[in-house]
Amino acid sequence: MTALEYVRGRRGLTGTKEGCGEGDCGACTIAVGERKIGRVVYRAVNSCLCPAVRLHGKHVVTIEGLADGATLHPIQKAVLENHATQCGFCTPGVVMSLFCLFSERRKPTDAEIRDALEGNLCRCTGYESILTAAKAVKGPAVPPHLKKAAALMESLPARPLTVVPGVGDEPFCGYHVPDNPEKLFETLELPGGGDKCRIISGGTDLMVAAKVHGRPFIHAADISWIPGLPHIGEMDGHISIGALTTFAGILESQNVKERLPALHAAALIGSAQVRNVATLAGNIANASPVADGSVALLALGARLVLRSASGARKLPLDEFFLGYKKTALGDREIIETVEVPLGWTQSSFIKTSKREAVDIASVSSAVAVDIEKGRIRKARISLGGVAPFPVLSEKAAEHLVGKKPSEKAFEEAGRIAMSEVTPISDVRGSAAYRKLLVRNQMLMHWRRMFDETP
Amino acid sequence: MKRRDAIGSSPLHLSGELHVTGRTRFVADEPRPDGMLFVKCVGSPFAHAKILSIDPAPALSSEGVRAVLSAGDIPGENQIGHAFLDEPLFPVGEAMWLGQPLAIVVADDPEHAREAAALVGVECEELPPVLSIDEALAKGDLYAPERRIVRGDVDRAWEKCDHVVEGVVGSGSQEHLYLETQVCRAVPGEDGETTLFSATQATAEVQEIAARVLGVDRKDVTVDVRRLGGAFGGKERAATIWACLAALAAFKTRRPVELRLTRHEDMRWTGKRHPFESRYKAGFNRDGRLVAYSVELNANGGAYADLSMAILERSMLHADNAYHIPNARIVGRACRTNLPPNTAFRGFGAPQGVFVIETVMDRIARRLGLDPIEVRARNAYREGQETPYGQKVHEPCHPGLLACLKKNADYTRLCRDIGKFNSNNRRCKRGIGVVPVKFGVSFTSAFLNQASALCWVYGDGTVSLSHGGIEMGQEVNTKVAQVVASVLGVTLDRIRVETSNTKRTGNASPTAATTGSDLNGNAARIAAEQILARLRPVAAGLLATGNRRKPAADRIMFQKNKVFDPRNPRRFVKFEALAHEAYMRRVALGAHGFYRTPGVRFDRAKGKGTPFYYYVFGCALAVAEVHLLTGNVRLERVHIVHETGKSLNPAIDKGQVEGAFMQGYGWATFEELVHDAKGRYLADTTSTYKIPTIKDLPGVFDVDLVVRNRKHASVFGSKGIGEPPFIYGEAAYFAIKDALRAIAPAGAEIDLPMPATPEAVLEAVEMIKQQEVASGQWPMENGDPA
Ligand SMILES: Cc1cc2nc3c(=O)[nH]c(=O)nc-3n(C[C@@H](O)[C@@H](O)[C@H](O)COP(=O)(O)OP(=O)(O)OC[C@H]3O[C@@H](n4cnc5c(N)ncnc54)[C@H](O)[C@@H]3O)c2cc1C
Ligand code: FES
Ligand code: FES
Repeated sequence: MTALEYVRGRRGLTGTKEGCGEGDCGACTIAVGERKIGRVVYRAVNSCLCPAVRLHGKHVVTIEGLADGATLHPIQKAVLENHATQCGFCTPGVVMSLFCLFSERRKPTDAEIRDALEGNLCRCTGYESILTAAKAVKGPAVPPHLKKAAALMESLPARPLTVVPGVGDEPFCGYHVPDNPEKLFETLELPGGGDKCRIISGGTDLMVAAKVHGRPFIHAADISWIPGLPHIGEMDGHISIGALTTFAGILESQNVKERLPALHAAALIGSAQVRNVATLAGNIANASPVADGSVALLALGARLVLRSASGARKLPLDEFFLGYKKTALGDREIIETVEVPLGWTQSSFIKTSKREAVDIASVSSAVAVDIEKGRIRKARISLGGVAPFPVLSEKAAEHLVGKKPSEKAFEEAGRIAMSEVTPISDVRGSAAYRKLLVRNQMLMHWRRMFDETP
Repeated sequence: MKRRDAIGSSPLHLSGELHVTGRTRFVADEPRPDGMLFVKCVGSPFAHAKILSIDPAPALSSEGVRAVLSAGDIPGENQIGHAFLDEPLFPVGEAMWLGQPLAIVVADDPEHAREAAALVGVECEELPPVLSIDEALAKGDLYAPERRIVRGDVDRAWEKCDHVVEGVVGSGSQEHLYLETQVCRAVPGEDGETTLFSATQATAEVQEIAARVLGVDRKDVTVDVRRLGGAFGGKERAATIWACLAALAAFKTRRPVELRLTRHEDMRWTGKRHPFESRYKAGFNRDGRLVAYSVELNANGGAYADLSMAILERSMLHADNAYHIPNARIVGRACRTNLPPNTAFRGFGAPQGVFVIETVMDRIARRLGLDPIEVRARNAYREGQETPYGQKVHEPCHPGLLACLKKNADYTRLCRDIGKFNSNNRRCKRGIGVVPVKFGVSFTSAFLNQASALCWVYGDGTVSLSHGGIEMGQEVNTKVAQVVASVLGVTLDRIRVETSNTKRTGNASPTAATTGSDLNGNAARIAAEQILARLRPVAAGLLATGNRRKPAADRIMFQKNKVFDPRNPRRFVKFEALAHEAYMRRVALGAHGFYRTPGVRFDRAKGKGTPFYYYVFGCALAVAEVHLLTGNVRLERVHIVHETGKSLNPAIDKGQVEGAFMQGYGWATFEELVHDAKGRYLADTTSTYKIPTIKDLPGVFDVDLVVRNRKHASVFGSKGIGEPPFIYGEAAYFAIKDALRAIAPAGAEIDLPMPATPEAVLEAVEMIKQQEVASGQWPMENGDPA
């Protein structure tokens, strides 16, 4: 059962709406509060993609909970008074996204407001009134009645009491919440009706696959309650990113922002709601040819630490992708950490999509260079959306080696990269368009990394 | 919270508080009645198919299944067409579009229904589909013989023109993407009655057709609509089929049922905006004035007639847009293809018609090196000039509105700044697009221009108001309530606007064609005025008590829940006291108001008439920035000047303009609906079909509502607002085109398809570069413009 089905069906809280069921519209946005060092952090989550079990032990706020009796929440008041609601179908989601934003930022900037709302589609207002409303919000984001309710979390266990052997409802008949690695690997042994038991992490790929494209998985093992799965940390010349690290977590890392700009840029996937739950490891394991995280990591020369019941092994990402949605990951193996070497002088990630926000790339690419005495000593160039999986353009990278980082060198690299790829045509772009983008993105990388003129 | 009520002020959304607190109930939010069943459709596997057999047996034995219904189970007629009777509920023999329902499964929960739907044995033979306008035209498969509107003699005019341009332009389809998907709950009642809680813009039509399908009378079917989660035309005709399927399921199972499409189903199975392919020829003089214009508008109607002929008609009636054309020949054709039946979408053909002549205006300006705004102003209608179909244009104001637009945008400086920007930037170029709009308000099928409303004043002075309009976010309820509030002199909190229900407002026209507030506002005004007239003598009596003389009944004022003699405003009776007194005196406190728009008629055969009660005027300017390496576009600024008459509610009107603009912008740029050779839409999920997000908002979005006293306007001097501003979105397209001129040789024609997707823009950039390279003019060795 999804969190959306739970709040609407089981709890009769129909203020939360379903607009798409696949994470793209935000009408189903709820706020999920968690204890974090002495306070409660609320994150916007697309309830349509969130397994209901995930809500366990959290302070869930739906649109119905914001007002204190007859007193509207300051955000509700602002939306109402600025005529920022028309048909009203998107409104609960918009308000909840703003709630999560304001609970972290008293006076968000315009850009922060747009970031927080990019995952909330509104077909009526054209957004101008919504933006005006957001700018007019006055008052505390977390009023006393919510603070009181959040305090109840203290008395709850942080994890579901028992493993949930089979919640019975779609899209899974067995949803497992193992609380240690041994149990996880046991669970992964479960037969899965022709398919193996699947790991579920953020669920932003798996739930879409299960819901929009039928019900291919029978058992799912949720890894988010396994203690000891590391988050972000630095050691021995690399940044190590644990399985549970979300894109929101990566964006928060100052270390990544300063030293791995390509990864930072790639972490701007989807919308706030998606970034709050989607993990980097899931992005890699899902093996989409246009996975932003994978493309950036490929250029950065990342290594994976894979763990199974029999122990851990390391594998360069270069060797991970084998074919369309095919990887070197063993049946009962998980990506435990991603190790990203530091020491690149510069790196950059660029994606081109039809729409600026919340869109999958037509083509993406990343470049990482190491510069010594003004010349490129080492370079890696990766491309997404041009092959069945993210690939390296070795010839293009070779061209850069030994050269000064100039527009000309990158332009030539672009030409080489373009001639190396044979993309297909699909809904996100024709083969010819994709080839042009490969070429042009190289120029854009040069500009982003080395050029400041307009 | 402050409440303002008067006409011309902007009280808050009547349902606003419900919306922001999540208490609003859309159809699927109502508590589920006990024993409710769920419907899933079994769709045609091909866009065009011979149906060989349908075997319900395997589905019938699946868990939870109550019924599997197909054509043979229809008690009445298997016909859901309206203007054209060409559309079966379930096709027999031949399926016409991919996903067309061949049968439905009714089960005790949605999951069981879905599982069983996959088990229904459908045997079909694939037939070659017709998908494009060209194919359909070649086959001559039109919904009706081509239509014509002719004035003057274009053929003899060409030689008199200084310049003639010709071309072919297409415009794209568009998915409505209302946030609430198609839904209907059907509840059987006693004595063969059925109530349909349908998300429809057209209660009477759903009632009529469901009754036809069920083989009962219209009195046996009630349609009730509280509100829609967006519609934009997509629930005018296109809601009927789902309502009829739900009605059939409820009728056969005698249980309440719900049919709700998932987003994926909705995107695959519902009709969309008509793509057009148009051929034009335009002759003009040195001064930029149009002399002759000939245009063939060809619309892709999809698999059934639906509203295609009416949409085509409106596109023809807007082929002139805001311009006087001495010689015009407008030809229209709507053709049949194997796509889901294309249907109404905000603008209803007008944006497609306007796009062609705006392309012409753009070319005229470039050809002559004239300012694009100046060319448009020169051609704009002047008072009393006639459209090609013979309607006089009254109170046109484009030269003035365009001047205002220039002022708001600081045009001279803007042009200079853009020039500077373009010479300083190699990778990005900016351009300006301007589009004026003249939009005719009224249904072009004259009989639809009628409405009724039912108004009750209760003994406590509160008011129940029913009207035929459908609330779908455009706030027709707020506006109509404002009208009644101002007639009765009560505050809005005294009024409850009821659901739109065929029992209270029968024979209601669809809420469409920008007429919602005009028609229903007038009907409600008439109803309220009748009650007011009956209250006046009672009020005169009440105010006359004591030794004062009795005030003249027709001079008494009704304001803010108080009733008083203007000569002595301090002495008043409360409205609730008056209502109570009137009740005690057995005064009729309910009234039915009926309104029909005077003077509208259109002779289709001759292509002449006065189809519109009045016109809406406005204009828009957009500045777009094009990234030459990716084809991505950003809107820098948008300025809109829109004349509203005496706006009933400026805040609502502003919201409509902004929302419509963004929708039009999406249509003109990145909302792209491609289908494959088998008639399957490739962008059929929200992850592949992209509508604007908040990040697509222009940096500056300036909407200037011009409030004027107009003779040619509707209720209390206001004008309708819903559709016209959609067309402003086209300004973005022309701005992109203009930006590309910065890299092309002076005077060169820019070939840019519509929608101008990033891919299309990048292709255009490459094309320009290649032409330059071929002609040896390319200035930079790296292939980029200086
Ligand atoms: C609206 C929306 C927008 C999006 N936009 C983008 C975008 O712009 N760019 C982009 O790249 N992606 C985008 N995505 C997809 C992106 O969210 C996912 O790729 C995400 O990173 C997957 O992580 P997850 O934790 O949600 O994985 P899940 O969905 O939980 O799992 C995905 C797959 O990985 C496996 N898996 C997960 N974790 C592990 C692990 N630790 N070890 C082994 N296997 C594992 C699962 O079994 C499953 O096969 C978008 C998704 C949505 C819904
Ligand atoms: S319903 Fe659209 S994001 Fe969940
Ligand atoms: S108000 Fe209708 S979708 Fe936002």
